[in-house]
Amino acid sequence: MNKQTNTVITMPELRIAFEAQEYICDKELLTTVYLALKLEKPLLIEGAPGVGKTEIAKVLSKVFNTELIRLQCYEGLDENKALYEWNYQRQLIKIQMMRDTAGHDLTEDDVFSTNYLLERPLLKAIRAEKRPVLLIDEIDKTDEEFEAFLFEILSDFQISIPELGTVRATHIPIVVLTSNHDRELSEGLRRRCIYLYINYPSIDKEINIIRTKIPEATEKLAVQIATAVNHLRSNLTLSKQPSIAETLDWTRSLIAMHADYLDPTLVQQTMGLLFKNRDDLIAFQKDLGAEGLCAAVKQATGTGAVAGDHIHGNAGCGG
Amino acid sequence: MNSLVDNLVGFVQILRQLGVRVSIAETIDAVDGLTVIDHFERDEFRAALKSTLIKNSEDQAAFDQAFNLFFVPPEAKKQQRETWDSKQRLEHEQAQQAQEELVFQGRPLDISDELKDVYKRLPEQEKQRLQGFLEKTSTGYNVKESFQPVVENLLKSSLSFWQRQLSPEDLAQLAAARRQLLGHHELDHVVDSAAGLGGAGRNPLLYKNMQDIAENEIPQVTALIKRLAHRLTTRISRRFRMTGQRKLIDIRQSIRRNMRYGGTMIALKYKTKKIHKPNVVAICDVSASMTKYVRFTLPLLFGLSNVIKNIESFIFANDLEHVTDYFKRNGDFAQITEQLMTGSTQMGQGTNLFIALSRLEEDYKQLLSTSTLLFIISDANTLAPLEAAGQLAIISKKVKRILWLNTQPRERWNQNSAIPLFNKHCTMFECYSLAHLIKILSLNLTRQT
Repeated sequence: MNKQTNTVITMPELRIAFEAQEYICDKELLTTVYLALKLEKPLLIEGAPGVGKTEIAKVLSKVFNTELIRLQCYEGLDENKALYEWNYQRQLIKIQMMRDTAGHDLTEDDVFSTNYLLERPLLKAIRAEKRPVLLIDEIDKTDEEFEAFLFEILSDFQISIPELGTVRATHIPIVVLTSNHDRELSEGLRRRCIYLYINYPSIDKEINIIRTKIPEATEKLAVQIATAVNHLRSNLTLSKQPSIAETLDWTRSLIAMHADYLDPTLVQQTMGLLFKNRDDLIAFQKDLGAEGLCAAVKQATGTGAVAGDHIHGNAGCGG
Repeated sequence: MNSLVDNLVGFVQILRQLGVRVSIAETIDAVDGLTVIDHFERDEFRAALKSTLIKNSEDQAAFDQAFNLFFVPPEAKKQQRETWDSKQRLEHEQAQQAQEELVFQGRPLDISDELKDVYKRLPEQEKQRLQGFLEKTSTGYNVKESFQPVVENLLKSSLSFWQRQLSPEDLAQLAAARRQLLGHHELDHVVDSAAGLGGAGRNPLLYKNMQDIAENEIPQVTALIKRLAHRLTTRISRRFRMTGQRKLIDIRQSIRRNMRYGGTMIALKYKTKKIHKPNVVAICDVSASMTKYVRFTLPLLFGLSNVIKNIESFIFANDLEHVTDYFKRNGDFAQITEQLMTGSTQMGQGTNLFIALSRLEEDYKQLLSTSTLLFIISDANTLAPLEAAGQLAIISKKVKRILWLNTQPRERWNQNSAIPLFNKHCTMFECYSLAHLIKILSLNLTRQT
């Protein structure tokens, strides 16, 4: 296996590259990613849905200008779907054709060659000519058997195909595994990985994310949105807390409604973008409500309320 | 402890004492990691250790506490050491004092260290009362040496009573006092301080006995249980999915499909197993002995009802009551609990599992099929245990599996003669905390049948 040459990078370069890809991150995240690259170990990322786990793999593939190979995990995923399959129909046609051609003996090698191999993500990553990024998304959705099989592959980076022999990786892929913590992953898998837990961002970081991803959002709106979302996360008991992705959707919808600041009517109209289930919506209405949220934002940001003659009423957070 | 590796090894020892599992391979990874980063950059150094040593979000608090206490400038370390030494001296003095005070006719009493720790934390007035009692009995008329075990037992009962009265904070302090330390000055004070700051263990709510759950923690517990119930259904459904990794060819379907190609097998048809979601029946004990667990059991029923479609819920005490409709009203948990508390006739009654199971078998026989998973949530304290076990045997033949979640700690099971009778016909799990519930789910219920 080659030692990697195409992914040699220093920490400052990595930070600049992440910034160039508009991925806002702190030192902890950067150091962890850097270590995974340097030590050539899989990076296991956990965190609530929508905090930017999958995005890291996408950013890495852009940073190194390499292919992103994605294995989306689900219940019942098996080796055939993850590793390889023989192109049975093509083999059959070949056999039929050879049978019709006189004077040609068909050998096993004729139909069990790489031409008849359907590469699935794992094999594709192992055979890639340039060090790829292999994203194994939502690993917690798979069965334990598949997880065990996977960590064997991740420790050796080689696959045995009975008809062809052992295929070894020419480059160790940059492996990123993500998990939503639906199921406890095995100790073995955890031990082999560099671990990163992405929490919900602080208010300042979230403002930064909003301003980077949606430049048309004003500073005031970004501050109010980040404060509001942070207040919801820390003060309500929700089954699904609003994620960064939802914050961005909410911001986009508020901008589409030409909002410069939050007010109760707007909040009431757009709450469906933050809460994705009925219980959470009920909990919000009961424990806080749009007025309460705007008041909390006003208190936290210190912005004064607008006059009562404003089109959206007088409990807004704008000033 | 001078070199970086020495420090790292010491730090790993501390993490292990705090309950974090760190393997040798991970320690080596940490050393490797430190060779590629800037040591003098504290945040980078912390991130490198965290990402290589900590592989679970729940262990991060312990790591942070230990890191902040261990990797400090020499002056701060010196101060910490002095504080630790004076604390140790005080502990030692208190222990010696307790040893001197707990005597009968000049001989030390045989009392466990745990109870001695309780004694040390008693109010002064209570200590004097116990000392007075010991003094009087020691010098009483015709009191002989053979009285000592009786005195010991009386004192143990009194101290056990006080142990039960201790606040969670005091209990945590007691646990900290009994923690096995490493016997190394520099490391022990970090272990002790980090544990005292709440760095040890995982989410405390997970390990809390559900009878001690506070009112303000109920929403968190309900949310956690709902998440767990979701996990349970995933497991249950997975159980009925295809088991083998390799597909099996459905010969009959393949031949039929390939008739058009003159019998050449071009398009293969694979066998797939139908996904049978099981029917779940949950019966929950709400009798007087289980009232303190209602804050655990009702959220559990609520959580299961929210995520499992085919669930029928019952509560029982001296009779069975069908409560599925309460949970189908789509109300919030507080409303449902209130309605149940006022509407049910079973809350806080005596327990008769036999009647409850008989009613289930007679009146709801359509629910008991070979695809039914029956959950019983109870402490197994019941009238007519023999008859109840007989009824359980009958039901166990009709359903796929009976899972009994027992809210009594396992060590008390041998005090209940009914449990061995029930155990023959069901799989019983100790389940009085959320951590137990998680463990039960992680046992992979799917493969045990």
